[in-house]
Amino acid sequence: MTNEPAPAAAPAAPVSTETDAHPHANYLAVFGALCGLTLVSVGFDLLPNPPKLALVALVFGVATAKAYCVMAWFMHLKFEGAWKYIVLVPTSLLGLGLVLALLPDIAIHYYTVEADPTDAVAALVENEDGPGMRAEADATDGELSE
Amino acid sequence: MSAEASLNSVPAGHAVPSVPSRMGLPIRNGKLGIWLFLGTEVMFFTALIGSLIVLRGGAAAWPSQETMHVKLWAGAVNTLVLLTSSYFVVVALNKLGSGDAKAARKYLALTLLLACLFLGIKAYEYSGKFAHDLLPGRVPETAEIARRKVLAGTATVLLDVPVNDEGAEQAPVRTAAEDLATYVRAEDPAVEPLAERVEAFRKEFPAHAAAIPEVAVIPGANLWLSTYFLITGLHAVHVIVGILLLAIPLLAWNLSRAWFPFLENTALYWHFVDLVWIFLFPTVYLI
Repeated sequence: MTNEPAPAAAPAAPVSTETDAHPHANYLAVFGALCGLTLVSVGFDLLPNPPKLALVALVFGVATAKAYCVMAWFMHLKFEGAWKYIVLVPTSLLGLGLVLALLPDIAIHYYTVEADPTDAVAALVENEDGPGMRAEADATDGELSE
Repeated sequence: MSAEASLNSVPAGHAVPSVPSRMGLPIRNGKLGIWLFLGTEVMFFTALIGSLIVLRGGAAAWPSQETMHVKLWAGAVNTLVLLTSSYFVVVALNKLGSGDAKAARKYLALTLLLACLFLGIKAYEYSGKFAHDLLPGRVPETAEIARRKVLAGTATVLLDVPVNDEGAEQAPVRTAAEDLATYVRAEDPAVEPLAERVEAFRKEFPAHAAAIPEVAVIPGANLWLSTYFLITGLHAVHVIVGILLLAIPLLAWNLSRAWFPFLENTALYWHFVDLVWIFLFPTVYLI
């Protein structure tokens, strides 16, 4: 555990140069790239009638590239040790996992969400054999009558 | 002194003193703390933005940016503002690390100015939503709801304007509001003619225009607005917290290299706020 002076307590003695040693990068170039990428994503949006899915892929691709620039250079993750994976990979997976878990039921509609509540309630009330049995019995009756 | 040398220095027959082992990761405690916090923030904002994407995918209707008065230029400018502030804060950190506290303070001040500019543009965008009554739960998604909203508006006007004595001429706005309510009840009008009548009323009585907002039926608008205000509002709260954190070293009378760990942690937080906006910008303004 390191003994850092608390900034709010107005530290008197400066810490050693080792404490604030951190990698330097060409931040201006990174900033220029970020601005350029922002203009590129706006340019994609101004294209005449772009296919929706292509637009989504392009603008989120550009956003991911911008996020990489910020994280790698501005947040110095490019120069950090492997501990960054311990902190960021599980949290990112959990965040994405929530979205992926919700997508099929709410966003994709791979099954019909419409049901007739009247029929459902009637089946529960009238069917002495339990839910679902009435439908099977009706189907059997129908086959016999044919 | 190496471990072997220290062990050799212990006289024979004496117990070897226990040396506390070095635990943890090779970073400062404060930095580890802020990264753990940012990890929770990753989950928080991924859930929020992910919910917006999922809800949008499942919505029967989703309004366009034009319909919701979303200004692309405002989003683009705010993106550039936050990116510039991120650049300034990293330069401030560099300057402080090299011992140039005066330059660090200058870049911190620029960062704070840009943060306030970001909030100002955001407030301008919010004011547009309020002006058009584009608020969660306030936008009619069917013609019937639009008619009820106009009737509620006319009732508000009639409550606001006092009734004159019997025989005296009523205030023109009362008469107009009563006429409008009668028209809605009797004609059951479609959206377009209703919108024209309401617009005529608003032009004639601008002082009471707020009571009867413009008629616009926008399917899916309320869900859009709920997600918009929730996510951009929570991001704005993070910007405000960032402003407070950045103001501490800026206002410190003894800003020096001793502040480097604090400023580094604050800078990491500020970059994260920028990072969230990088994904919010395409989600809200572009697609």
